[in-house]
Amino acid sequence: MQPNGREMAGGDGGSGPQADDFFDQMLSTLPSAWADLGGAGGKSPWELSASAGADDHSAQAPFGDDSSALLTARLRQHQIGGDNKSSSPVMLQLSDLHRHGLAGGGGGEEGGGFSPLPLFTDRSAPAREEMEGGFKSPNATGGDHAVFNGFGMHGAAAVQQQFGQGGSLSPQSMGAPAASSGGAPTGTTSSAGGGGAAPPRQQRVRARRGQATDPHSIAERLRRERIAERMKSLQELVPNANKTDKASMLDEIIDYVKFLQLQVKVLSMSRLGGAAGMAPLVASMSSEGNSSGGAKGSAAAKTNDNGENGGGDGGGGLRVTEHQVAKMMEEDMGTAMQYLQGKGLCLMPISLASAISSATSSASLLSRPSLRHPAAAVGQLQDGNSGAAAATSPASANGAGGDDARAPVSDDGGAGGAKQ
Amino acid sequence: MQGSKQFKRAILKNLVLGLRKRGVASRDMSFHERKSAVRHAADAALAAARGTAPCWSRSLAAELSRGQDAQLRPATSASEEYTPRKMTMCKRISRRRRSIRARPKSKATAKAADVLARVMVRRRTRALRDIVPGGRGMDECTLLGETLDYAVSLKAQVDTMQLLLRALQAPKNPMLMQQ
Repeated sequence: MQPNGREMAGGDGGSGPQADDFFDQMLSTLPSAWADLGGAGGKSPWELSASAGADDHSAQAPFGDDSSALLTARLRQHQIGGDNKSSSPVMLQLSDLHRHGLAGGGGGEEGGGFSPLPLFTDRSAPAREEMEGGFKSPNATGGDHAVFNGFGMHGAAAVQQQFGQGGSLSPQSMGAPAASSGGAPTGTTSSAGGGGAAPPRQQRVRARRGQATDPHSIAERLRRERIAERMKSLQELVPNANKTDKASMLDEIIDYVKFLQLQVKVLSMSRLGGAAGMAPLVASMSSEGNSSGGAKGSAAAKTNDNGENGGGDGGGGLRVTEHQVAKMMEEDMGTAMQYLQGKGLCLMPISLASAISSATSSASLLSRPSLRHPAAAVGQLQDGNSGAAAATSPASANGAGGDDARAPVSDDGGAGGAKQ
Repeated sequence: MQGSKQFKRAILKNLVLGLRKRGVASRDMSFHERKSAVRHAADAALAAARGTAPCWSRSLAAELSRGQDAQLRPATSASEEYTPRKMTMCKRISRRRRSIRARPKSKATAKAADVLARVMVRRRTRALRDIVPGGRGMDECTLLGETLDYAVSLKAQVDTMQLLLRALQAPKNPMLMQQ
């Protein structure tokens, strides 16, 4: 590949020495552009920054458009210098290269018909700064985006070993799509290109500004491509993401993030018992009940801190409470749990309740391994005598078992608990 | 991608340290106090473990420090980041409103579906902005990137917390049995 690159560089015709200079600068600027753009696909930009340090990423971010503008300008000069003949063999060889080496990320959609060249690298900072100083132009004109389109900005995995050869090849290949997508600017470029082998930076800037071929659509295209990249990677991340529609995909993403946030919230509630150690009975047990209830969206282990025999006293009143709670559970688990907690009641798996009621001492409770396992079936929320038993997470069962073991007071008083 | 063990370990370490520092193990906290303390510690652990590279991490850290009335973190950089973001956000909102108002009038009915799709997408993007911390001052493209990173980090945080929970709760019973 290296010889190929050299050949092409040599066979450039129009500008020999200029080509070398051009390529050198290409090689230095391309990585910065690509590190910003190509990251989203194979390697997330965050991962890149996480590994390489925040500074690199943030430093590279502003370079993207500038270096692309530079590239475009350079390429146009080159191309229009009369290398149309050589560009096609360049493209052919380029595509061969790509077929061989690259994990191409769906290139070929843009004019060039070849997969993109990922150009991550660790180019020297001075080269980059030099480029930046020269090409800090505010406008990303149409030319820039044409270049990117030609490149096909689907960040393939970084293939650093190909960078050297790819860098020399890419400029010419980019020149082809750039020319194909923006025919009009050639006139202005040639005027600027006549400036010489290594035109001063100001001239290049001027040339760029002159090319206003439909900047809005090209900018739009660039933006859309970026967004499509990111949507694709999000699609891989979010489960159940077989939607092709952007709106529904966003829906899925939103739901997923909300779900994760809810999980964190619930886990932080459940941590109370664990981190707190032997917390007071009411607080720990009811809190753990609430937490695991929130976690699985179902009721959690119950304890009765009042020591009331739920079944005995005020059966009618308790039945009303039951109905109330069942109704509240349908709408919101959290308020149901709080309601129960306010009354000094809680939810309990049936097996645990039966274990408690049949147990005569806390020692026998402790010895029962069943306490540690999820006791009840899912979704059995009923009014009436069968009680409101529901699925419990292992955490809550553990918590219940642990707390029951730790809190003999509630066991004694809570025979039968609030289970009805 | 980022559910790396190193990241999770960092979260775990930060979380444990933070919990210990906040005195969560004491008994005299109320339920809500403790819950918010743990949540706070978890978010701080996540933001600290993730570093300052992604935007959401910085804004999350800024939010947390703002929430703490006791500590007045200097965080001038955070506030500086926020004010320009608010400005851009306001501009964006007004721009968005203008464009939404303008388009339906000018397009033909044939393009109404297209417009509707765009409106739907915009609505959801807005919702996403509300969810992701610091999503207010970003354009759509960076927002998606931030969301990606945020989702992965959240997943790691959840896994870590579950791990910790299981570790804390499981061995209690055998210990008590010996009593």
